[in-house]
Amino acid sequence: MTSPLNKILLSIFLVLQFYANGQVLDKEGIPETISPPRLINDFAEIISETHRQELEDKLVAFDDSTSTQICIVTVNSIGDFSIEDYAARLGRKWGVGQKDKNNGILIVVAKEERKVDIEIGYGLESYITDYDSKHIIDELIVPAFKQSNYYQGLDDATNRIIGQLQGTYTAEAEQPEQLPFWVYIIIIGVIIFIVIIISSGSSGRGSGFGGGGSSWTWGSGGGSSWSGGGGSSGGFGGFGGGSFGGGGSSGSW
Amino acid sequence: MKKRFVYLFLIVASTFLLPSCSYNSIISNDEAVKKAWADVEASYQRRSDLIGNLVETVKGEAKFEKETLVAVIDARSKATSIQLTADQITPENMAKFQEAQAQLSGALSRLLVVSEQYPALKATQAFSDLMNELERTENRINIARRDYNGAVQAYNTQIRSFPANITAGIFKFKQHEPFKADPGTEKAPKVQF
Repeated sequence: MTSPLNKILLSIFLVLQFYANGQVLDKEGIPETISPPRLINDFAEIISETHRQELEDKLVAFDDSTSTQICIVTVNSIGDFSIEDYAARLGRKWGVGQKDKNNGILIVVAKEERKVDIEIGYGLESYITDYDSKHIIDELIVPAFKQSNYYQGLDDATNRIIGQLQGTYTAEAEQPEQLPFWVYIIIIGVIIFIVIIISSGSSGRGSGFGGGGSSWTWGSGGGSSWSGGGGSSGGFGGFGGGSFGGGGSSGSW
Repeated sequence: MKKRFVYLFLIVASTFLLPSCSYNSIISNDEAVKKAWADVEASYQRRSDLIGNLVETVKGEAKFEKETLVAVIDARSKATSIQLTADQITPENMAKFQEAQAQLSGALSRLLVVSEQYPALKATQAFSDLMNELERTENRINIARRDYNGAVQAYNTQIRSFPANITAGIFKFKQHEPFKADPGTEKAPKVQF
């Protein structure tokens, strides 16, 4: 049945297919995250580039202000998985939502199976119940998808989710994670500068030390301008390690 | 006086030595199993509650088959009568628990098959919302069971490996019992129309 030749052909076919949609699967058959991570992962290519960007911008803005991550993944096929099993595994693997809040939402669209699933993270189950997700699918997603208006369905669905989640979670003040490389250079530069000032001051007159003090003030001013710039820079910062317990809904169109 | 000092020394020393015998990590793995079991129980409880609602909804349908309904109600009360804490799970208890829940699953899917013959019932929004919640709860149960088995496996592997097996022997840590895949219920029963 499965001769070596067939296996080779199959694997070549699979590899080609994955390269075609930029999608790499793990051994269970669940896609890996792409790098850099995005909230819209249109592996099935059913949304136009402009619409993809609009959705991404909207969801990144929502993530920035609330730390709630709404992620959309479209795939050609989910293989032998049921859509809800596939989606829950994917959401856990990628870690959609924050680890301590489990406030992730994952929408999976399977093109060939014509199935869609909304997974709600543990932390949001009481705000978006199974009932709510079912109605989002029945009223917004399925009618639009039947007309092949994938963007419309997903845009309306995410709008309703965002509306319903207003005021549930807020983003905490961003902690500076990793300092960029140039910050270290500036700090080292400032230290060398101070050392030079001090050493020249100690060899010369006492007032040289006062000059060193003022240059330190300038250095700390530079530091504060960095933290302002770092916080506001756009783009999706990555998934937070949230988990899913199976809540949500699924439907087909 | 001197003896007391030696005892004190031994107690202090043992508190430092215990972590190296994996005592603390056995405890935390044990707690993880208990937490995972609590999730399993909660999701089964959720299903039981939903079945209660379903029975009420179906009862509204005047001529609904009495037999199927009674079977569900009986299976449900039998399943809810078996409440276990993680420490009470012996292989026999686990088998009973699984059997009772499997029976309820069976009775439930018969009820769903029978309800196919009542288009008026099927068409109501309340019924289809309930179906969705039931389906998602089966999904929750599957995930909770998988997590529980994962936690049990981590714990059991640990207490049988060196050096934790020595600590586990001294403090009488017992192995936890995982779910056995029951035939036919490996995949959640499809309750979607």
